[in-house]
Amino acid sequence: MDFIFDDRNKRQIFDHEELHFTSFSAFHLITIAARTKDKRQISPDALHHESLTVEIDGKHYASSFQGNKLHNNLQTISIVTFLRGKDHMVRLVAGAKQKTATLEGLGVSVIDLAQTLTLTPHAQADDGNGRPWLTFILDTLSLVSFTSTITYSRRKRDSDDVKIIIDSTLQKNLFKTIKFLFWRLAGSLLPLKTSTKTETETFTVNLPKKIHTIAFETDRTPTFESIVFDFGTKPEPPIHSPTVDNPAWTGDFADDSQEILLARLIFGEAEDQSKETKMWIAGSILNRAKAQAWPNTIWEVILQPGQYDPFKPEDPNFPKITDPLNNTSEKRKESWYESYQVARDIISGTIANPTEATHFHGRGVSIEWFLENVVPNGKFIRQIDDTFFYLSPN
Amino acid sequence: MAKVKLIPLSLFILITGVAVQQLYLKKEKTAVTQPTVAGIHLEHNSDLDEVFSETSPTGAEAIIQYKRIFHGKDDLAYRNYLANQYILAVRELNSHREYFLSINDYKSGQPHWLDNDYVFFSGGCGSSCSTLYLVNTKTKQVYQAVFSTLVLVQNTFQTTFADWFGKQHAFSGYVKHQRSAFIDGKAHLILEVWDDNTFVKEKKFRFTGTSLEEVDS
Repeated sequence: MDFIFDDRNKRQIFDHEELHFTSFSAFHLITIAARTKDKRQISPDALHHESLTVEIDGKHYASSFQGNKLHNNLQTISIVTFLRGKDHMVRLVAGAKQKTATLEGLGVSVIDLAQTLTLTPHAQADDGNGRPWLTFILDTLSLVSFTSTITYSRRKRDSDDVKIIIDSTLQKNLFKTIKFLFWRLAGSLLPLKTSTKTETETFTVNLPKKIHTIAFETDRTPTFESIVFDFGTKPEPPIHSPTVDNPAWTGDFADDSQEILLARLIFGEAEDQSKETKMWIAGSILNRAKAQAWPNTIWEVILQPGQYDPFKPEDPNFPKITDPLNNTSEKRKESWYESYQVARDIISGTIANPTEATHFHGRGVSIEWFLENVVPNGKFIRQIDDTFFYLSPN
Repeated sequence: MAKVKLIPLSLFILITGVAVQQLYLKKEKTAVTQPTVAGIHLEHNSDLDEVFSETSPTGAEAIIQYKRIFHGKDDLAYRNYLANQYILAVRELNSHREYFLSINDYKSGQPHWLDNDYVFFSGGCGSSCSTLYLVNTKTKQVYQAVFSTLVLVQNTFQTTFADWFGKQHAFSGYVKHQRSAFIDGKAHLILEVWDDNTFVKEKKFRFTGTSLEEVDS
């Protein structure tokens, strides 16, 4: 999971706010934390409660922050959805009549969605009475089951309780008393001696591929430890994403996975170089993504203008990297598969990044020239095959 | 008697003359149909694909880019192939003679004329840099220019252009594309400068054969 956007600047939203971020075609986790007040909390004269709704790339989601239910407690909505392309926007819209709300934070991550997705918020609820707490929206995904782990306690007067609602259906607890029928977890039922319990429960739901909402409501201050979604199989993206065996470009590099994009770069820059050189080139990209002077994602580092020639449309290597297996020799195929293998393994951590390098060049440029003009504050590290590697802080 | 002696002599001269003529014609034919340097023998032309050509400003010549066809099997053969993948030749359009110009690796771009005696093409460099080669088609002298592009802050760029004649030009933005053009009858190299995803301007350099002189962009 790569964190690509993080806004923790707590602020009041007036009318609406648009937050823009760049990414690439992939499943994303977008988490919004906000508070909305009921009308009495706004002022004695207020006529309407606060509310806040969420739109992502123009798509409106039904789950929202409602002041009459939240009473200014913190609610978090997490949305798992596939976003296509580079430029994206989250639009937060306050209510039409009471045009205010409080945004606590917004985060966006790219997720390589496997059969299961584990989220570990470790979030303790504000102290308050029954209200929405955490909501998970799975956009156009099937769901076999989910397993939540929540810590709750028996407290004086009023204990921690948790409701679980799956697609508007409350998960009742028939084995508990009528009083706690609607609360899946009820702290009052915990024994006095062990007044705190961490409970893990699996809900088998077998939901078809559509939008699903798993909502947790709470009373008092339980802690949400984790949730594991089991999709049954690895969710397929709703578009053709290039693969190692079918790497033809869609016309938008944003449709490439990080592995494919990195493989294209390695292939374009080092087709005739050894595997070690390929690993160092891959490592230099990862190093840029980690360093402050460059963007934070592999995707942005590779596509940053003026940095890597093979990605220029007029470059002679451009047709090759956009369609590596088209009408090509066995040797070129071998090099493409090796490039992909290096990209996949270095991103997954199966092979360690062998270098601290951030720059490289081939023959035709001298070390002295490169040190003076491209990495003026850097240093030459080593030569492998025909490729020279450097470290630069900027 | 003298006549008898003259007949073999005449025959000798005739035969020798024909032979010399044939040899000359063969040589002439060779010069026409065969490139002048090993690597582009046209009898092996099945190993070459003509992938690009551009006519010179006068229309007298064309720069031809050939791509070699890979036949080898082992890694070394493949590396050699990639290191010698493109061949540049100049074709005289009247005589169809071709002159070898250079052998370039797989990162070399398409050649373009800059004035009537020079062609330029891009070459591979590495991260944050690009090369631009200039070749004198008459002397075959090769000049190398390099663009280095630093990222200053997020999506703000600074480019240094070390030109073919040892002069450095620094400017904001990055070079997305380069081309040549005749302006007021003089050859110019034109760099298309961008910043992030926005076109900024064209930088124009008058080409003299020994220098690039920036003119008002």
